[in-house]
Amino acid sequence: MNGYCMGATMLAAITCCCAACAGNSQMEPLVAALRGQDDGARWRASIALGHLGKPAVPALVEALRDPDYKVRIAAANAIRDMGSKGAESVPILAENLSYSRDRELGYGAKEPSLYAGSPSMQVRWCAVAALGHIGPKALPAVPALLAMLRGEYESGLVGPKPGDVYGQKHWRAFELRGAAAWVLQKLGPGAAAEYPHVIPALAAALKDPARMVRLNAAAALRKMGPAAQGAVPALLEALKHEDQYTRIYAALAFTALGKQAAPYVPQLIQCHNTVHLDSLSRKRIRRAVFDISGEWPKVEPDSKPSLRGNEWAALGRRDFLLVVQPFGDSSLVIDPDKLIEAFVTARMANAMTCWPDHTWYNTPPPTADQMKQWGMAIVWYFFTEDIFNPKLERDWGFATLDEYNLALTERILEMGRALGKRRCLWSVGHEQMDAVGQWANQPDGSNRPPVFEAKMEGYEFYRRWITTSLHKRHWLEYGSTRPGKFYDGWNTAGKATWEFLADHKIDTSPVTMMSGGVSPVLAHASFDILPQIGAYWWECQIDGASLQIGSAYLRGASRQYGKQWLLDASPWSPVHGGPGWGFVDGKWSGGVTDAMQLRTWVYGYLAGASAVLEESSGGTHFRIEPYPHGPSDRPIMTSVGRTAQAAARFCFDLCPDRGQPYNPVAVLLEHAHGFESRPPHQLPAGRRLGLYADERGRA
Amino acid sequence: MPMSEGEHEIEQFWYAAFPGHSSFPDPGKADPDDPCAIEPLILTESAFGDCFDVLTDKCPLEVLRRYPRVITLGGIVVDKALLAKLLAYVTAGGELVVNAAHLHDSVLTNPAFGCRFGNLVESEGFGDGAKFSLRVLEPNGARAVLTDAAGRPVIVVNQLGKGRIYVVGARHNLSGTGASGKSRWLAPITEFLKRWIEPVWAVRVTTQNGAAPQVMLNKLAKGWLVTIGNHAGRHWKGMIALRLAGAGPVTVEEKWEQKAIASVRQAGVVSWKGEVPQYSFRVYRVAAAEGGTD
Repeated sequence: MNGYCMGATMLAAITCCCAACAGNSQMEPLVAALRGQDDGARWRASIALGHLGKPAVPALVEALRDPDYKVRIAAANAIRDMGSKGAESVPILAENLSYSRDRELGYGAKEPSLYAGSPSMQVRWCAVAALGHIGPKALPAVPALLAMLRGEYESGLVGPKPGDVYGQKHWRAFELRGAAAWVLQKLGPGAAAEYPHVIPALAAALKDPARMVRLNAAAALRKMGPAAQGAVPALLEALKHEDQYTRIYAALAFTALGKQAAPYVPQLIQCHNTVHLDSLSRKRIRRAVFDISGEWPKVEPDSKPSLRGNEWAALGRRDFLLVVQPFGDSSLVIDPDKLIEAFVTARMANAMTCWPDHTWYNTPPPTADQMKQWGMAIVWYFFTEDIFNPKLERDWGFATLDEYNLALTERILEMGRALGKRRCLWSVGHEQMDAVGQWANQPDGSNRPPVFEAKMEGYEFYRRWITTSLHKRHWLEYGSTRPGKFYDGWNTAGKATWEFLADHKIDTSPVTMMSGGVSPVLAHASFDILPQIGAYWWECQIDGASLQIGSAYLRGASRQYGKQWLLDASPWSPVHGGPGWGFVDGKWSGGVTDAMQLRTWVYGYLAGASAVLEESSGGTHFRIEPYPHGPSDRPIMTSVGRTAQAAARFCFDLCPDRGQPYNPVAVLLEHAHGFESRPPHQLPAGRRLGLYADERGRA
Repeated sequence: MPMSEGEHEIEQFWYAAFPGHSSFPDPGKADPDDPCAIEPLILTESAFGDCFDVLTDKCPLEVLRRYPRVITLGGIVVDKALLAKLLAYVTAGGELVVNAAHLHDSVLTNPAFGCRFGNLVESEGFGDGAKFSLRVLEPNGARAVLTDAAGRPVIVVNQLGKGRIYVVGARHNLSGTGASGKSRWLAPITEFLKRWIEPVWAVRVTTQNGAAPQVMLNKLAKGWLVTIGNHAGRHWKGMIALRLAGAGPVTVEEKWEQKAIASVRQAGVVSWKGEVPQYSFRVYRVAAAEGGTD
């Protein structure tokens, strides 16, 4: 039975199987699919079982004992989706927190991957995510979570071998410790009341070598209320931590104590004054002091150091942005101020991109003043339905998801008003727009690809998909296959961005709006459907599609509609895996090679892109040595970083006049092109190409 | 929705224009110490040069007029309204290549094509054995510029105002009697397109060592940038010739290494020797030297 047929069967099972009357016979096909060999059918069964709720729990408990780790993942995800209804599975989920089968299973040379991790890590991730969603009824899992937080289970994981730079960069065992703290944050004061070891364990985690663990521990303490008193000595120490984010999170944690924190206000103000270049965090700490003491503190003014040094002609360019991504250091260990300073002084770029979501922990978004100091333009990547947003909403202390989204939106618009529309761009997403394989995803776990009798029907579906919340279903598939990234489930309950903006009557005219995709052939359709966008974002390189053909579509669409296009050079390589640090000790450490990156970046410049984005550059252009425990305030430029410098030197210093790309031949297509099925190409491992929308997503 | 003939046509056109694009080198033949050798071919040689923009039938006439050449592809349907726009484009000086398969029945009698349209027949090909479906074209003012082995017109051209219309009778420009995954872009049509594009593509590159390169052009206020991309693992050497109006001395400067390059200007063509290391590119700026014009 293929995946699509299984989807239909599952739908039938659900149709006649409400939560009250679901019997074994009706659940059998779902459980069989969960334990079968078809991965596609498995994840759909997982969603369908999650949809059924409590009647499915006994079968899922059994599945969580299955020898196949994929079955356990699917079962845990089903429980995650049903939330508190899955409470009976807490004991077995807790057992899965120490699941260790890496040695028996083995895994490929390029594992652990950035998103998936090793098989054991994936199982644990999914179990911890399910516990987080069960909520207060997951309290019996606290002893196991504390063991996980202390790293006691990590001996069961197979780490990278000595000298394996790729493995070292992508080794994410620490995320499991951070995830344990995250669940404790969600369990709140009840956990501390019932288990006296919670507060000491969180206090100890403030010294964890991994930033993510420290931040989640501090965020958890903030949720514990007066019980956090026991962590005050550790929090006071954390206020002086060398890592700025740790200091900020520790300061905010004092709000848990309410008025009882008043004696520590001097230390909080002192901490405030050690936070540089981050006015948003400084503001949050001042707010915390006000909440504690009832008075706004007298503090040193926000620092305004000049980092620009000598003027650089590139900073005045309006026609072309070379964009780096210093916010949200994916290597998680470099001091954020030092990293930004390194990017600015290295003359690598004249713009920065900020992705306030899409990250595990808060990356304080920059202010307009900061951007002006650095002389940089900005490209925002933010969408209101992002599955990370609920965590960020809690971490920042917003009352609702809407409040969080409104605050971020206002920050973006404020920057547009300060920098000007040409120097402040806002993309509402791309990868969720055109993976046609995911257009078939249904919330009940069935899989029903839309059937188009004519191309215009495909066009109209695409219109609905990109302009409404329908495209949230894209994340449904990811939510079941990439737990490391999407642990919080696929549906935030928040509306997708265009609907959110319309509901709140938000005027986006101060910024250049963008939509986009991984398929460049849909640029004409996007410009036509969304006249409010000024540019199309094309994520390229990631799947091996021709830049020349993709650019012919984008450039033509831009010229036809009088718009711009951004070339997002993703460093994820279909042959070299996740991005590394270029050459390290003469060996290639992963990702698209420096030689290809350089050609891609310069190609984008000459081909007429108004912006070229060096995606993930925060984790590739600089590193610390030794990794990950070297001095976090001393970023060292990698070979990728040197390549970026060379590209910037070419675009801005050696060849600042690119004129206009000369393309005298117009290829004239029907407007509703790009919606027909295409066969897979002869590529390794069933990979598909990204020029056309329906070649992605089903690999 | 199954893949239509038009989509096969688009797909095969891009393979003709950028041979080998979006594929992976054979890892068995790659140097194991060279991480570049197995990377996907996202940049490749360009058979016609990087000379294309894609527009759609919604494109306004004023945008269309910026292009001296237009070719229709895919599932486009040239009906009366679209034909009116295209004829306005041609009479003002543009050149249009349209495939008979793209023409709606309602426009087949339009005199602008300079030919009568007959039935669809099977052509035995161009002597290469590659059969294809051919719409019979009977010139009626137009002239044939490409014929099949049997002497039947495959492409005809008609002068209209300041421009020309070319009609291609080979169905969707593809081999086979019905477009499918096995159909290929017809090689003689590729050769025709090269000749058709050449007058508006000012650069010609000849390879002496290495693999055929990618060629890009950027128009400057005064002069040109000529970019040669070498995406293979071998050093590239060759001759680059750029047609340049005007007279007098010119300068050629390679922008990556900031080197002046010796060049020769003869009969309106500037020529110089080019070299590009493996997996790299070079960008030449060509402009009139002091006292010259371009």
